[in-house]
Amino acid sequence: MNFLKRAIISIKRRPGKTVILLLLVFILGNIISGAISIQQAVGNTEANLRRNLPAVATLEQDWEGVAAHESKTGEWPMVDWLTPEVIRQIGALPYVKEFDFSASVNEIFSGELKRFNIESDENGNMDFEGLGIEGLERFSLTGVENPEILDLNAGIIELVQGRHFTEQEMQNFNGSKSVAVISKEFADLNNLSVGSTFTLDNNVYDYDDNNATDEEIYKDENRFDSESYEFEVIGIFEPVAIPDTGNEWEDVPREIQIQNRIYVPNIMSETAIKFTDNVRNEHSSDNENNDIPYNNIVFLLNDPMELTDFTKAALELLPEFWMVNDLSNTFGNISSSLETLQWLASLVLWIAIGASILILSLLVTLFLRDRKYEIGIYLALGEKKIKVITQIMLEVIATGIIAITLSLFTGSLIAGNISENMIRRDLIAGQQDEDSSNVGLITVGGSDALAWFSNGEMSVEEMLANYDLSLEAMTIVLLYSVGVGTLLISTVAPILYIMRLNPKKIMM
Amino acid sequence: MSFLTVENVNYFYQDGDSKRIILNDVSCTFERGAFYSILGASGSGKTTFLSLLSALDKPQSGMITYEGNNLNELGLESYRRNKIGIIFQAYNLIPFMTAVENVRVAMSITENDLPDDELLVAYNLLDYIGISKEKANRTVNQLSGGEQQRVAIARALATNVDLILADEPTGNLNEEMEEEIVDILRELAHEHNKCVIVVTHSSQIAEQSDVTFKLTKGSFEGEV
Repeated sequence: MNFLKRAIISIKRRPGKTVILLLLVFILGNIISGAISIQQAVGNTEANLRRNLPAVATLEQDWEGVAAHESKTGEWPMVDWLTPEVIRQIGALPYVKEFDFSASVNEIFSGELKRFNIESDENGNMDFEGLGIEGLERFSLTGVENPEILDLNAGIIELVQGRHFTEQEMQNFNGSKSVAVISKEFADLNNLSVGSTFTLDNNVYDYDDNNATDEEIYKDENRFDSESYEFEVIGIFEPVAIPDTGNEWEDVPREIQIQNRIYVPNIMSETAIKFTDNVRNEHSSDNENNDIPYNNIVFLLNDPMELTDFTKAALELLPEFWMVNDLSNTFGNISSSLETLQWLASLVLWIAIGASILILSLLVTLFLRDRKYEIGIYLALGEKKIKVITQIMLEVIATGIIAITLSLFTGSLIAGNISENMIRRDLIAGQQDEDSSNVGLITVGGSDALAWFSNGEMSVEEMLANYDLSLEAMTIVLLYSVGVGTLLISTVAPILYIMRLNPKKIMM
Repeated sequence: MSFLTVENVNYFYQDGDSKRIILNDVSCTFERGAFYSILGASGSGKTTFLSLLSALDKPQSGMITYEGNNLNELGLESYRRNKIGIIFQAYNLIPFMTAVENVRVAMSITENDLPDDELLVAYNLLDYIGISKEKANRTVNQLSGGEQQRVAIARALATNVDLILADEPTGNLNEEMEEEIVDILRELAHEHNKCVIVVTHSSQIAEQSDVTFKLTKGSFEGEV
């Protein structure tokens, strides 16, 4: 009949008090369990969303930072282009699977080749890059540094004929002949196939007349200089998936753009850019900075969960006013709902713990007053106070643990229903707000390069599918820790009560 | 060396500037094998005296020794746990426990050597005191007053101690029961060589004791 057995007898033989304590802890436990479950679920959901996020990041100029600097200092800062060395340093970070960057030629011309185009029923011609002038068409060149072409490895395009570049092709360019990978639509439109060649002219026109029309600008008399390049088609690709944002003004131009894309080695496009810059400098009084403006700086990471670490490491290597962008903002709405929910759950948790300590302390002390004589007997018989205290704590904790175990399931179930409904309502409200302002539910923010990696819009149901309120080991451990901790703190007042008991006053 | 010695014990309550003396320079000795009664009217200090003998309180001055050892040195809690058995007027049993469980509570608290089969010992002890096994398995509030006091006596004996202290053990019982309880206490002293000290206001019990100390206004009038 040690104090442990006495505790068990006390719990069994005083069912009324045991049930009251059990019910109270069960009710409070439900609130605590619900709050902990929600907190865990928010963490899980963020991890789920991040796990499903494309493991891709881009480097972009931080225009918000530039604007902030300007408003603070009154000066618009000079933002240098990134050098290949900095990009390669970031590409060497352990989080990076592969990377690419592009020296893009925005204007290169042909009198013979045709552009792929889609005429929109509602909006007419949406090929904003094309010229549409009789006898002259405008193209662009997408330089690549990675011979395997990152877009291929990332699944944006697939090779349907031929091959990608070789290391030798990436490093050698004789100034006039190069190799290219083109789309199937473009190839079919221009009767090109692997092995055939086509020529593009690097015409440098005088743009000084701001009021001139395209026909006036792009005529031979207005041309400063020109250099022609012959390209051998070594590969033909098809886009795998065109981003579908539901916005025709974004989707159609994007499809036109990829179907007209001509991949060339950076060494070739850099030569074309330098030629243009040299010609312009010859005809201009301004001494312009002739750094190559590398863009589409894309990093494929090993794991989307490493995006944060990658960003942190990359920022340390980047010069001022450059930033790392990723697709985290594709779940912006649910993030803010989850943030609100976590704040609420955290608040409820602390209030519930405080209330539990107060209520349980009072209840147990009240129960102990009824047991004053029993405790007096133990003390009169010479029992150590520590053993009496341990017995009382065991009784409270044993009953409490049964109640916590029950509340673990019910609390999590109730919290699951309530929190899911809260998020759904919040998301639908957010969707309606955005619909009313003609903005898609989830839009791909930031660079166009990132848009190709986006999984597109996420519906409310898709977002909710990531909301994972399941009972897991950490939730259980946390609930028992918080629950038992709360019960232990709740026995402090009763312990003080027992410490002050004098058996003589009780028994005689 | 006496079994239990009380030497010049004083006990008082400080009431503002004045002292209310409860026990005034009390001295006496107790031996094994004898049945003692402390006789006194209400307010004479007899319950306070018993609380000092049972180490539920400490005298302000003077000394109580058990087998030559000062109670303070033995440790009051340890002394209660291992040296004495107490019987209260109101029985003071744990109401939601059975009779045998009440006895076993005391057995679990003491550090004295007890036989391995505690449950059997508890049943035998209760049987010796007059509580059958069937009654021993009842919760104590299902027993009569006399039976509850028997359980309290069994509990006092269960820890295998030599000193039994009783505070008005028959105060709540009828005459017939009183006689039975007194017989048990006498038997414990005479046949089991225990030192039994009973605090009472009943002269009938005092008459049956071997030695009676009469306590008046906090002082012994001497052995009767």
